[in-house]
Amino acid sequence: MTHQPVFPFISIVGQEEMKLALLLNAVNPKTGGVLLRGEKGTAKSTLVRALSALLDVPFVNLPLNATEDRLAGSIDLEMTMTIGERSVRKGLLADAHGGFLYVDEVNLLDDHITDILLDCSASGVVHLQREGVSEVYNSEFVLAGSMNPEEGELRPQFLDRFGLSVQVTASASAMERVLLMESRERFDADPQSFIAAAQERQTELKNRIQAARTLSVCVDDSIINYIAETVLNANAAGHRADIVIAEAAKAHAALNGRDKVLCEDVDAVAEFALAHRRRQMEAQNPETQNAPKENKPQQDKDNQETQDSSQRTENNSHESEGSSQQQSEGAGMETVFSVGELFGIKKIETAKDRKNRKGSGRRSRTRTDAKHGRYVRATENRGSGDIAIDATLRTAAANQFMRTPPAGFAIAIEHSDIREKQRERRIGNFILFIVDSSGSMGARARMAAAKGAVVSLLLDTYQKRDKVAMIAFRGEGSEILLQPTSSVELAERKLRELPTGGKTPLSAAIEDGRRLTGRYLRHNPDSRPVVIIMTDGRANVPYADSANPRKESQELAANWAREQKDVKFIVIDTEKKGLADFALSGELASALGAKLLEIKDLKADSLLNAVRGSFSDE
Amino acid sequence: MNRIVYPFPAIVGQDDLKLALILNVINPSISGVLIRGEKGTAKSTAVRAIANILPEIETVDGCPFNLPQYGAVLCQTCKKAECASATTMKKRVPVMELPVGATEDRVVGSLNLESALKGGKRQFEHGLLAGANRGILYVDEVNLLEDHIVDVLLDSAAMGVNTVEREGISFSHPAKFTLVGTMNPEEGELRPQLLDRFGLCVTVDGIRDVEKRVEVIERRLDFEADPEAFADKWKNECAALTDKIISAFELLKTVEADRDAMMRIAVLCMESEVDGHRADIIMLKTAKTLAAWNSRTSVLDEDISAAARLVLPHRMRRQPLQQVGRAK
Repeated sequence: MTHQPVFPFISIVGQEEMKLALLLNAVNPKTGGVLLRGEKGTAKSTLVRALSALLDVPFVNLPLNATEDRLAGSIDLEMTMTIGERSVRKGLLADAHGGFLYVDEVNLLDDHITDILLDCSASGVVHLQREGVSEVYNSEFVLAGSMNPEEGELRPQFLDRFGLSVQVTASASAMERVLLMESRERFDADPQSFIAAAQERQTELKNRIQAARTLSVCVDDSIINYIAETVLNANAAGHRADIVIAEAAKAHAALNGRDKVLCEDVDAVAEFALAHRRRQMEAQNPETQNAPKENKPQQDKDNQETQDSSQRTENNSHESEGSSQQQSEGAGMETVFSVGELFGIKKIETAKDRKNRKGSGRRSRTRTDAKHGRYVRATENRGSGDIAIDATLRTAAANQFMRTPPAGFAIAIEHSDIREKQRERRIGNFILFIVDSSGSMGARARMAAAKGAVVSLLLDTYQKRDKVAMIAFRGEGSEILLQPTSSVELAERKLRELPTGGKTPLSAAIEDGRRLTGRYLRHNPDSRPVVIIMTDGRANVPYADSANPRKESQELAANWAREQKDVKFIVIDTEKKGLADFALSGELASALGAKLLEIKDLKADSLLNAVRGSFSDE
Repeated sequence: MNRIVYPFPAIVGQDDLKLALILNVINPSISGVLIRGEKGTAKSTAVRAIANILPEIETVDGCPFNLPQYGAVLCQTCKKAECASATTMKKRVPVMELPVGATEDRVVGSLNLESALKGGKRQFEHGLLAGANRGILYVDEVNLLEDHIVDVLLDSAAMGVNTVEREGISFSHPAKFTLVGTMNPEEGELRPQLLDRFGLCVTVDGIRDVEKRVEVIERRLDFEADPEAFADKWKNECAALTDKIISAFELLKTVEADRDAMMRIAVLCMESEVDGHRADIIMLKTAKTLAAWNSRTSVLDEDISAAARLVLPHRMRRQPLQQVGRAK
């Protein structure tokens, strides 16, 4: 092991909230861990690591690329080979027992690793049941995580596992920033003497934590009532907040040398426990926060009409009011609408099949050849070197009667015994957006809403690491705005600049889309494209000589779906349900075998039902 | 490797790129440089060339981590007994290149399980991060690398340690290296989180000046025709540059930045609305190194402005969908 000098906890400038939340956990592990949320470069991991130097408990760092067998434990190869008995090698969860487990960028952790963490942190016990070994051992630890919400949110049930959460921001005081630079430079120049200089105050803090840990603190009924009221007023989900606040308040009192919890202790810690449990999570959603200034996100979802009209007023300068639809279609006038409301997106994924795929990302589950992902079962040797020890040993065991183990070994293994792991992981998809920008989309702020929805979807594709392409159609034809790329930025810019106006050449867009996904599938035969069509379905320009453009578009759509069975379609109607036109896009959707949705169906509503609202076809 | 490397001073133009590399080798805690730009702009030539003019490092012969001497805690786990009696040798600063298709195993190292199963011996195969210790890790097309590999890279770069906890291996070793990444922004951006980890960022363009373009071609042809003679011709300039880097390295220890200078940096960072404090810290380091490079012991305003130009552009992009360097 290499010992890196650790920046002393007490020398970290500012970030008092983060420090307090960590100290509360150090004093009272029942506080239930802490999640540090915030922008990059705000000393999140520096602080957690600094804490480790203050404590005499185990401190385990879980790297993002850790595998299940190292986390939970697995068969001990050397012992099994030499003694010939199944023997277990415990994992990092065992090492963390009684101490801290720290995950940097916890929101990027693979799902199957998260599941193990969730299970274990709920029960305090690891049920190891894999690779032919089974064992149960204790693992109670304080879970500390840090994350940058730009990169995606945590699953709600995982979020709730963290007792406390702290929103971290950079210091807004220039002087504080200067002090910070100074101390960093002094540390980097000579870490040893920097640490030595902080030693006295470090020891002081250490003793204070130690004293607080041994203090038994009592909570009066009146305080418990006060906590309950606080939680009720905050409209927090579940009962965990109450318990967490009580434990954190005890720690706070103990840190201040008191054996009795006061209201001020509750006040000091309540926000840590409530911030991530409030029901209106949208307010904290990074996407909504980052919404462009010109179109503030509308909080009131029921009030669609007000929203529509307010946006219409905003766009009034471009739009010539109510009858604009007819006018702009006739005259071919073009306007550029701004991007409407942004929101979090429900889960969209494709179903699992039997193909192995390469690539990374976090959208759809697939089998993979890479040595990364969840071990689902063992297969024959394909020469990848990703060996399944359990299966190999079992195969070898069956053949032992005709072999002699080498000296010092209990079992002889030959090349023919080797078995490999079949793994499963999530990867990104290829997503084609087909956006209707005809004149009819200009009415009732449809285009602003549609752009808002597509940008929201783009943010989602960014977090899931998809490839995207974009086709827009208006006037006489359709246009490929963006060839398949990973550059979500480019897609967003193209969309922002997209003008609206003219007729609706849906058929042309369908043909362009079919060719584009066809080409993509030829180059990437294993990929599963998702096509998202955003339209009101009022096709009125024929592709070939056709008397009925609407019927033609449906026939072409049906042909597309028939020809490319691996493509998944989603049609998003920009009209509201109840209006007669909804039927038009309904016809398109059924021709494609697609799900028909409204924009509001895309929204991941809240903390509470985000899990249920999935479009996965599993 | 006895192939002759194109001499660093002979590279025409690309002053930002050259400066950023020089600053990083003088002060590795600047933590790397990201080179954005089109293909064929001398990016990889410059990286190889700079390694070639750096003073040689002393290492234990055959040490996979380029350690300067035997006896670290690591040496017990590494179990290469012959190191104890091995002599130290001088060698060029290593440049490890990470290809786009690299697997995680190749990067962090892996255990050869089949040999472990057949012979019961744990044989750790070291990855690129081991070889890059005390050297330069060059990542071409860093924006096309798989996310989890970039995560590993940046983790190691930030901590100076590579920690492996996978597939039966639990191992950590020093991985202190200067990270040089290149990317063509048209093929997709890096995540802001990753952008921020690169200390400096330069944008390189093809040279627009005809005369200079001719010079590029002429020099290249000269070099191809007779590398030895070409290298010889530039020998003195290379040596002068090496000396200048060494004296800047020594001088850096005495460079001071006063409160006013730091205040300027803090205000600059706050005005550009960059996330967090990393920009402040890196800008101070860069300004100090610039002062040392210019043979001064105090940081001047011009150092800060020059540093800002290298430190801020890639950090002004605050959210995932915003473009790099777009003015607010």
